Amino acid sequence: MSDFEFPEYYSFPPFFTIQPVSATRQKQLALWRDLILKYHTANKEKTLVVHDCTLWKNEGIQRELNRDNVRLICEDFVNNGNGEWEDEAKTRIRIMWKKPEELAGDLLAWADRSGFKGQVCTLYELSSGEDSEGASFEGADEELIRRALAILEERGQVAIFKGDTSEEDGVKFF
Amino acid sequence: MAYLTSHFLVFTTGSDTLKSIPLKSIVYEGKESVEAYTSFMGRNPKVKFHVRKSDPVAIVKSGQHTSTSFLDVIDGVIVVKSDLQKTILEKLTQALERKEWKNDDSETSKKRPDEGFKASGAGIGGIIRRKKEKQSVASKQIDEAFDGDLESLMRNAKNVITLATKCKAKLSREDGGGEVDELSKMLEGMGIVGGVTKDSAGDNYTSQLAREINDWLIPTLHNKSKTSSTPIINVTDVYVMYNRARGVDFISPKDLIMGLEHAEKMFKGFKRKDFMGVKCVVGKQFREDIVASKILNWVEESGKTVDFLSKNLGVNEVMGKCIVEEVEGGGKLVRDEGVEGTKFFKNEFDRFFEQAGIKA
Repeated sequence: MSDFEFPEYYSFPPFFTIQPVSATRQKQLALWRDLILKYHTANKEKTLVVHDCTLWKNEGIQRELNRDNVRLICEDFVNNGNGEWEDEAKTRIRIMWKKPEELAGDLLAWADRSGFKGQVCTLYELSSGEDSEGASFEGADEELIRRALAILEERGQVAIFKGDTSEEDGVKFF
Repeated sequence: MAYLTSHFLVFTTGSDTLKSIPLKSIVYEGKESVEAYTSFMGRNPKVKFHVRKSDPVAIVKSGQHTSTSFLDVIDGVIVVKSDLQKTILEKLTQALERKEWKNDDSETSKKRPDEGFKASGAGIGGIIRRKKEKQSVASKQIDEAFDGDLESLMRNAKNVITLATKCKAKLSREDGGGEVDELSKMLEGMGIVGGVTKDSAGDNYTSQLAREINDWLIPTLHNKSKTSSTPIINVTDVYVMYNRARGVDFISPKDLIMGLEHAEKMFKGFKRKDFMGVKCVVGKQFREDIVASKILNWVEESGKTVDFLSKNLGVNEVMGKCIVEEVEGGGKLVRDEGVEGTKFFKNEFDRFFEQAGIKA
């Protein structure tokens, strides 16, 4: 596995029982969202497969989420805008490492910092290029980056040009 | 020498003669009938019996001589020159009063005349019928015995209460001090309290009942808090315990609820509380924050079951569950439903939440 360091609460047995008290449950779900995001971001995984996610079970304390609770946590994760169902049957979730708004901010800041203002670069370069190494969107899902760019385009901060392939679409930062 | 049985008075005169007087022949009407007196000179103590003339006095002879000098039948009076001891005389009087021979008579008279042979009594059918008859008689007897016992028990309980109330009243008139308390405590310990009833209180029933409930409940709650447990009882338990304390004349659940309501308002010695829908009464000493902090202390190290927490709180498990869930509802506890059952932990989610730096 990865060298992802699990947070303390992952070893707290009640974490694996959905809490009946609403206020407590809200915090618990927020912690689950945070864990899912951090785990997938750290491992550069873009997709969560509902029936096959190592997070649901902690062997160390012999606790496991039951199927209903997994469903609940996934729904909450998606409803909160941290991910999207990839299929109708809701078996896979596209993890939004960052919400598009957040990523849009990151993109702008990155362009500013690395001198891409007024320059054109391809979508591929954004997600996998040398210049984006270490950036929050490095290796990010193309769809996610597109959405962030769409937000920026609406604000008039970038312009998008169609390329031959979707990866070759160009972006110009203003 | 003289011997006394339940039926005969037997004398030995000399060495070989026995005289016996059947007790039923002795006319006994108070002490006069059997007298012991001493003669003029103080010698030869004598005992005088009045005997029915019609009954022959059996004189059992053994050997050859009969000495009649000891026994004179004069006009139905037997005078025995004898030194019957006082004790024997007393016993004789008792025996005369008891009239054992009468029981014999009634028993013999009870003997059923032989039933003649009947066709219905013959064969297997007859045997079965006889069996059934016997059974029904037996079960009837049992029923009667139980009914009788219960009735007499209740009658007696009422008597005891009347007596106890009288004692109490008398004592309180006389000194009104600690003795009354002691007595009432003793009576309460025996489960005897003269309860307020609709008959005895009339229009004041509600207020008197409220007072009585209050007088009983406050010390009960207080005792609970003294014995390290939490001064809290759910109303169903109050109902059972209170009626037990009354002993007789149980009140209805409705009356109890009403009584509690009034007692709370009138005396303010306890509070009614709803724990997750379970009605309870709590003593004045009861403080939720203290109970909560106790629980939090116990779950500090590791998760604990309701069973464990209830025992430590000194409440029953139903009550314990209510209290724990109340604290959980306040966001101080979280649960872990594992294979070994549900355990409660201190709520650490807030701390984790802040640690993770999540924007709410």
